Amino acid sequence: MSTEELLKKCIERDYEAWNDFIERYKSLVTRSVRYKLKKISVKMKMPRDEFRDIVQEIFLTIWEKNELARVRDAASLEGWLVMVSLNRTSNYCRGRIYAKPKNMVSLEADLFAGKPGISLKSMIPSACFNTVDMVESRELSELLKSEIDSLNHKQQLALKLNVYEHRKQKDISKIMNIPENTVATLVSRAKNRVREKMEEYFERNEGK
Amino acid sequence: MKNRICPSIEVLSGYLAGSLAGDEKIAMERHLTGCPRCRQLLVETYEIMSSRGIHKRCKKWLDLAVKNRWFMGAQAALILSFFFPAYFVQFLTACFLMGCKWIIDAKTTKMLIMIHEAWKRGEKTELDKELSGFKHFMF
Ligand SMILES: [Zn+2]
Repeated sequence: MSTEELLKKCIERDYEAWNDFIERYKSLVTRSVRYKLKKISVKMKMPRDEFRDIVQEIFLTIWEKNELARVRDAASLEGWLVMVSLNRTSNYCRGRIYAKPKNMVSLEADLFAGKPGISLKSMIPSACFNTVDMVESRELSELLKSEIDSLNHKQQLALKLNVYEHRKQKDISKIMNIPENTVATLVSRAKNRVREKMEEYFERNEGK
Repeated sequence: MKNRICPSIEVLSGYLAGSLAGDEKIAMERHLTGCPRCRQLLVETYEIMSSRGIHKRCKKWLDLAVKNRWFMGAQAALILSFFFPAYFVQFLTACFLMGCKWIIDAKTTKMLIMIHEAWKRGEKTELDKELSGFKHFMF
């Protein structure tokens, strides 16, 4: 049975089709739940049946509320299922002993505070990268932010996926549905523009 | 400031699947640039979905390993027998037993035995004639 047919039958409340659906997507949902639990670094090991409960709960809610009717098309079904699983798992863990205490620093903030591991370096000429306090200066942060904001939306998204989410060009091209060399152009142009502005900034400051 | 109302996961998954077009796609991309939360969900989803290919490949190798477990066991025992001379005989015996198990399990061997038995009964088939050279070597 094709995904379209399966989806249609499930929406029409065909119980047999629903069982097929579970069989087909059980492993995907299980993997998504496991991924999320690992990501939020569950403090203690979750009992096996509790893990199974989450997976079952996800399927049950989809069936009871006929949520499949909301899915746009068969092509986006798998992505949708993964997103549902990720969201429900983090909702489940929220406020339970499993969730680790939040030390919320937004991804945006990381870059501007010069946190190691995020390639702020790649945007700034190395000669200027000798004083850490320079990076932490508010002025510079704001300049960088406004420069990034002034890029066009495709450049911005490609750059953010590259810098904040640490994605490779290949992955970005698949996520954004554009050819890989387009991504390369987008990212390098965006980086160059930011780099130019940074250079200008440092030159101006040295001249002071 | 950017639009702070996050799109539904139906739209977000549609974007990942390449089903959005025109203004809707542009609006989505604009939102994604300003919303780390949606961006993260998108990236995580992509990661899980693309890891499936690797998953399948691993499974293939695992299947192959399970299929040839006796052969690999025999080989491992043989290699270990050289590393632990004190248990040389034990390892060699294990190697021999697992080797026998492998030969018995192997389909080709079963077929050859069947042909051999047929041949003993005097029923010479075409296939049998072709295989006689090989059979001579085996038995
Ligand atoms: Zn959002």
